[in-house]
Amino acid sequence: MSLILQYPALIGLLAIAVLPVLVHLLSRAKPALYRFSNVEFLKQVLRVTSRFRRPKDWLLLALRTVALLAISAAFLGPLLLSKNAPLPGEKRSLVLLIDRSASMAAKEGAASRFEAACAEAGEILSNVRPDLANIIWIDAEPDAVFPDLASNRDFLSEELARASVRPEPAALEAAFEMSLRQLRAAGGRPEVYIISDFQASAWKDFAPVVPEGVEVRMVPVAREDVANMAISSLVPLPAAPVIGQQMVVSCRVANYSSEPRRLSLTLDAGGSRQSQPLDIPPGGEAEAVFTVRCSAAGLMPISAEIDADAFPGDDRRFAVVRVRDSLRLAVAAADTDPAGLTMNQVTRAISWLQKVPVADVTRPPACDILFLPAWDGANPETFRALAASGTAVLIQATPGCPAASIAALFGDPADPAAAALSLESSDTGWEAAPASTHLAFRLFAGGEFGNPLGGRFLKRSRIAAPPSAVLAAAFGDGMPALLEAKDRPLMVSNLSLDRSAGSWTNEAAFLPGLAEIFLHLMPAGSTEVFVAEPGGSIAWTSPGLDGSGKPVHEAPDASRPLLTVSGDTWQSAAPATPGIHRWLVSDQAVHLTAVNFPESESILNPLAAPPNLGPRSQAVASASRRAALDDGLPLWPWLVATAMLALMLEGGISSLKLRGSRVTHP
Amino acid sequence: MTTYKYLKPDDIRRLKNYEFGAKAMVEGYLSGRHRSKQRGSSIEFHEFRQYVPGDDLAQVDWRVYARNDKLFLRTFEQETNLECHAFIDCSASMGFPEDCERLTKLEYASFFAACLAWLVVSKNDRVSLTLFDEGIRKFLPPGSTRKHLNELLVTLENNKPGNGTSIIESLRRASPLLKRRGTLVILSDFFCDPAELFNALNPYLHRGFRVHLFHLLDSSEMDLGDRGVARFVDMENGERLIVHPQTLRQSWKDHLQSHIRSLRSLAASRKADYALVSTTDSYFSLLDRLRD
Repeated sequence: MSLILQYPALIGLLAIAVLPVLVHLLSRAKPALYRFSNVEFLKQVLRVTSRFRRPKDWLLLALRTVALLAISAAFLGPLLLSKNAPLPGEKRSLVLLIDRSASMAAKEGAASRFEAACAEAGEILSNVRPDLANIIWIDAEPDAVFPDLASNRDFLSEELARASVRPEPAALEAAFEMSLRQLRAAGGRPEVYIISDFQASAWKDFAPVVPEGVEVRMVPVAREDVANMAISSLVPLPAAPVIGQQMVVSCRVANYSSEPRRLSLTLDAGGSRQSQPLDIPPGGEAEAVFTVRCSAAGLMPISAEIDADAFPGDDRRFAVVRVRDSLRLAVAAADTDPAGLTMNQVTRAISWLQKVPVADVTRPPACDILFLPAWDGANPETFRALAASGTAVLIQATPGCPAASIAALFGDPADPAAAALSLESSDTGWEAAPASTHLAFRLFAGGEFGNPLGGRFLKRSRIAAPPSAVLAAAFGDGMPALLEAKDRPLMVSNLSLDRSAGSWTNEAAFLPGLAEIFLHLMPAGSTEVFVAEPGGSIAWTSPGLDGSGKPVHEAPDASRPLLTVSGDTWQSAAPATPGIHRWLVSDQAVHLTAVNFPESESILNPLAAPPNLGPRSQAVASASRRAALDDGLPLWPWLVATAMLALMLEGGISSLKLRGSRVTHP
Repeated sequence: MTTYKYLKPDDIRRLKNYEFGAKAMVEGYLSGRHRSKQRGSSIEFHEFRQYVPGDDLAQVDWRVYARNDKLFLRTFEQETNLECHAFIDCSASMGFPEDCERLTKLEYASFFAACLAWLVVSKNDRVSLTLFDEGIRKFLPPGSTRKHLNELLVTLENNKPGNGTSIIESLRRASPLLKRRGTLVILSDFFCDPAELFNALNPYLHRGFRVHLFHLLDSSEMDLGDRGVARFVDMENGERLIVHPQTLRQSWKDHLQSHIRSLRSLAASRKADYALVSTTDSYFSLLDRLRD
């Protein structure tokens, strides 16, 4: 801070301050002499009374002096200037970085944080009156009102009135970089005002390098923490269920307040609604699991919702799944092969299984599951990679298949001592049973549906379980019947599908048992993408339109933004806002995209103090006050007020003095 | 006929009607008028007293010794004349008030002392005069003659207020000057510490003096008068103090009353007589007080 005088020539007026002192001295004019018998006694009396009156006299003198000093100083026109106030005539270039990320929608009192930020920005523009200015909005993809700094402050003020919060995260570094770039191009005295709630989750790691000469001032608009509840995740499993399959939707709700909350969580999956009450501890999370039966094929929008709170943006969350009408099962066997025959019958019996012919096992067609009933051990890495890429692989090794190939399927090194697979036969056969804890057979865990691997197996391969394999089923003597890889959908079966080699295929539990194995193997994820980042772009790649019409993007608010096309990819001009976005062709939904509220924006508590960006950055409680200081804060009203106060006090004390005793100038 | 400033003919006429009671003034050298408890030689037997070493052997009753083989003294009551000692404070403060029609405190004290001396001498008793300020300025030893009275009156007329006051020191110095015990009359404004004053009076009280303290104050000393802001100048040391008397009146009264209460209570405890006297009162009232 520095102080300057507008009228220093009048500094002589300060001499008025000595007036009360002179009056005080002159009022001590010599009174008449009076010879008295004993002044010592008088002094003793005065010593007691003056103990109270002397300070009062001095106080009156001080108040009168202060009053006159303040009045005379007011005439000098003192101005209080901030330390970094611009020099007269210096060009000022100013960028207002205004946070309009999702958290700025939080309301504190009657106004939201964003409204408070816009009000502060307006105050700064009108008080600072920069020569060049611009506004850069901090959101997922920061953008500026002007391409470069401009002098049209009125337009910026109008933009402030029109602006609204975006339900997006904040790209802080990008916005700051943009402001520095524009300031460099504009020249002059560069100043950056960052107006934000300085939400802790977003700003705690914000530490850009501020170039020399750039003034950075941070104006926090968040005054308090807002109690907020948010749905933090919504995960349907499997992501691409098959019609008739039960889908599990897990939903997590976070409580960012300091008090325990009880609320109701409602799930809407394709029009079917379910609710669950949730008790959530302060600062904690609770999870609810819903079971949804996929009754119809096609795109299924899923939304979860909690009771509305002070910050409603994150009270809903969305997901989309495609319910498939069938699993594509590629069977690498001839129709005359016993296993191929059995699998033909199986695909005919299970409506959601669709058999896909395989010409070359090393390059199978697009399918969900590849079944190799007579694998001789060739190309184990190919099938291992295929499983890793999302296509489930079910293999039956033939006798003579090297044990090393089996080990390679599971990613284990070959055992040199291990022999190739050999065929075992038995007239009485062997019984097999699933591992009690294996997920593929959990439907049969209760026993009411029988043994999914019932019957007797007259033939089997002599196989050793590699170390990385999980034993999913075993014969009665411990010989592995079904081995599963831990890290990918890959199984090696020792269960013969040849009707002449056992009675399993005749058992009632055969079909559901095999179906459960296929469902277990089917990929959990989906190759289709149904989500987009908030604030990003919404795009859809058409599988090939037949000319019936071009697609239309319908946003959650039922608006239909313009589209741009690049090849088969259509892109919406509007940023992605939370909700379900629909792509329509001939008014039929062909694709859905779920956009969710950014999770990081749900934590609304601000930093205790704005981040420190170096010596030339400072946090200001009130930007308008700071701007006024830059412009020079006139102190004369304060001085006049001080004088008036001093005179009022002087009057009060004087009246007290008159009411009491009238003394005396000892 | 010689006229004196402090002894007016009207006062003399009035004094002729005054009689002093024996209670007040008892010890003197003339026999017959005043009965004394002081043991001495006379014809009025008082009592026998056992001999102690140092007693005058001439007073031993040898007849009693012959009968009892013990030494007893035969004592007699003695008739003496009165001896009165007047102590007048002549410090500068006793010159208050100045430039006023009222008597100053010193004048008032002088009038009273003149009347007292005339009265004592007229009864053939002895009177002494001690004038003091910082020390003893003048001491007239006890006397009962007309010449002594004349000298005393002239001394009073020539007396002027002096400098500072040290009544304590003066009392200490005067003690050896008074050979016989009698009545001690002190006229002063007593602007001193009461405890120290009575410490200085202790030798007199122990010797059996009857002590009368006449505290002289002018009326404007009682309430500081009715004046505006004034620069008070100490008459004794010239110290100056600007005071608004109306402001301090009540505090001054309280302080003065406290001082008077101390003097009165100490006087009562030492069996001394104390009287607060305004210079506007008649000094004959003080003679009445001595007669009681």
